[in-house]
Amino acid sequence: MTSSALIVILICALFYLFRRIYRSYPVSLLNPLLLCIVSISTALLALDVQYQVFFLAAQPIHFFLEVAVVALAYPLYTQFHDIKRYFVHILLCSFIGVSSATVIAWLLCKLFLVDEQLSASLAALSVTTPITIIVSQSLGGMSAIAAIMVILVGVFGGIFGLSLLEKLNIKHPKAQGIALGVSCHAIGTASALEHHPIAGAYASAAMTISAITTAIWVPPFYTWLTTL
Amino acid sequence: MNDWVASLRQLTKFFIALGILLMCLYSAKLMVLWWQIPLPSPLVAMLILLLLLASKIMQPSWLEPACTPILKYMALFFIPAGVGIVQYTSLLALYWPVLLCTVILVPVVGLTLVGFAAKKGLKND
Repeated sequence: MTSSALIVILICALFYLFRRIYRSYPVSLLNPLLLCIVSISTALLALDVQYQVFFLAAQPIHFFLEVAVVALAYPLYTQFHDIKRYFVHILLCSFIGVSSATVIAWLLCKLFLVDEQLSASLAALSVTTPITIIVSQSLGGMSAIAAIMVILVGVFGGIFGLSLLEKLNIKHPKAQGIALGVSCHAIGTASALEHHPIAGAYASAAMTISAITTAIWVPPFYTWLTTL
Repeated sequence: MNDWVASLRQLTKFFIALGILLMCLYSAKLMVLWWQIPLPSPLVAMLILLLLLASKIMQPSWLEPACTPILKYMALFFIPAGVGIVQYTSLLALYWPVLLCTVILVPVVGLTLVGFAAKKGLKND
């Protein structure tokens, strides 16, 4: 019990520290989540601590992952008025983005002859982490691999996403926001928000809609892909 | 003294909002269990809350005190699951080429496809 409280406080302190660093040096590679995972993992491996022991102690933090998904209803509702006009369009875009992410991961797994458990972990990488974890668990994947991969996809998209879109001559902030929100979830949304407030609003709406699309669409779609 | 009362009020509002979120989450868990709904229960809970808001049963101002801080620090809650990577170091060593390709190709193809699709739909704007 006391060790759990200590671990929780330590994780929060570390996260707060990395967040301060990221605020002073907003470079995508200094993403606080990425740094926290890398440093804590390194510490566990160096100190030879079992993951189960750590996870049990960190359980209070993990619990809030589900609460955070419920809380997404709030921004979606408050933004609904602004995005109502484009709701169907964003929904269509999220279908395209989510399906392409699933197809690419599945194709790469086929190409590299990867086993089924890993392949299932990569089925839903374009959306916010809690949904990815839940979907990959339901498909029999490994949630930790899914979690770290989704963060890396977001970090990569956050670093190169906007310049890629500019090169492709996609300069409309709404379109940039939708693309970043659908393909690179929260980290893409953060970079859209830094770029342009309208891009940010559309990115967060697109991210939330994609999360719902993924949870409903990816499990049957992926199951169908694997039968091919 | 006034500051103290204000922060106590703030804290009460936070816990009321958190209580609403938890209520939605646990009723969704029960529904998923009873009716064998093939969806993740947090997502069902989110849809319930969205319905409560849309039908004006719930006011957005009741939820704001908990939703804003929880979503602001959302990244924090991924840490325990993310650290689970330590269980798969041998897997990473074995499969890093496919994982690297995935990390690059998924966002690049996604951004390109969705970017063009989004641009097309917004053309008359």
